[in-house]
Amino acid sequence: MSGIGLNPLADDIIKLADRYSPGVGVPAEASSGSSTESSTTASSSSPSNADGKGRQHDAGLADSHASDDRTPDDEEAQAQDEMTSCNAATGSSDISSHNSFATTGAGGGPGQWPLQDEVSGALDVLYYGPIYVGTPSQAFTVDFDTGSADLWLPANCHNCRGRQFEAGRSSTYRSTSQDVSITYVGHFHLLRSNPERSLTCFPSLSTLFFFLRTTLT
Amino acid sequence: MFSVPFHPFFFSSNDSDLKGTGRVSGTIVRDVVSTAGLTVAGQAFGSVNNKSDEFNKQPNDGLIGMAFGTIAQSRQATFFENLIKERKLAAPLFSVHLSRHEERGSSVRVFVTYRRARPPPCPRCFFERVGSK
Repeated sequence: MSGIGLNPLADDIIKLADRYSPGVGVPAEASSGSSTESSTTASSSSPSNADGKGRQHDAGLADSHASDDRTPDDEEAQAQDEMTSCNAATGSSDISSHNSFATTGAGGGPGQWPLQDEVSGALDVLYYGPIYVGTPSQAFTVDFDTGSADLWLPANCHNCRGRQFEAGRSSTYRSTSQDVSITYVGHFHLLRSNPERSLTCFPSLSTLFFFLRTTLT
Repeated sequence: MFSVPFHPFFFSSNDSDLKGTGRVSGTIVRDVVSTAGLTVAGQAFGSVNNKSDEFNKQPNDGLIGMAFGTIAQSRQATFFENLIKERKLAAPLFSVHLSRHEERGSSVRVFVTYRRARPPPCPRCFFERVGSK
C-alpha cells in the first residue's frame, strides 16, 4: 500500500546499497529495528544512526524471514503506524529537514532529477521533470510514473498541446516500423473518513524515500 | 503489482474512488535520451502522434514510465533499465522524494558514483523491494 512496491524487504536493499556505495548508506536512519536483521544491517551501514531524530518510521523494514513470523496484529499495528506517520508527515519539522535536501536535489546535478509537483486542489496530481532527446538535444518535460514502463513524447501530433519532438532536427534519430499504442487505466480508493489520508498520503509521506531495486544487475 | 502513487491522467472523482484512463499511439523510434546528467544512446520511445484529451490537461509534454519493462506495452527496455545495463549507475536503485502541495522540492535520485556525501538525516524513510512479475 505504500505506493511503489508491495513487499517491504529492506535489509537486503540496504546491504545492496552499501555494497555498491559504501558510505552513501541509503538513509538507513529509517530503521528503528523492527527486526533484528534489518536493525543490524542498518546500523552497520549507518554508524551515525543515533542522531536524536526521535522515533523512526520502521514500516517497510521487515525482512523476508521476519515477515513470516508476523502476526496479523503486527501488521495492523504497522499499518496503523503508517497511518500515524502519514498524518504526522505534515509536521513542520520533518518537512523542513527534508526541504533542504530536496532543494539541493532540485539543482539537478548528476543523478539528481528535479521534479515539479502539479498541484490541483488537495491533490498532488503528478510529478514531472525535464528530459532531453536527440542531437542536438531538444528539451521536454515528462510525467514521472512508477505505474507504467513506457516512454513517449509527442511528435507530429495535431491534437497535442505542448512541445513536440522534431525528428528531422536530430542527427541521432532512428525510426522503426513498429507501431505502438499505450493505454492507461487506474483505480484508486480514497479513505473517505479522513481527508488527510488522501491519495497522495497513501503512497505515504511527503518525506519518504523509496528505494527500488530491480532484478537487473 | 504496482500501486500507483501518481498516474498520468486526470481523474474523474466520485468522492472515494478515482479512476483514470488515457491512451496514446504512434510509432517506436530511437534516439539519445538524457536526464539528471545520465544518457542512454538509442533509447526506444513512443513517437506519439495521437493522445487522448486527458493528457492535454497536463503541464508535461510526455511521460516516462519507471516501472519494470516487463509491463511495457511497447516491449522496450526502459530508460532506467538501460542505465543499469550500460553500467551508468553505481547501484540499480532509484529513490523518490515527493513533496506534497509544493511545486518544487520533489526529486528522483540515483547513485552515480561511489563517493558521495551522505544524504542528510532521513527520519521517515521507506524501503521497498519490488519484484517483476
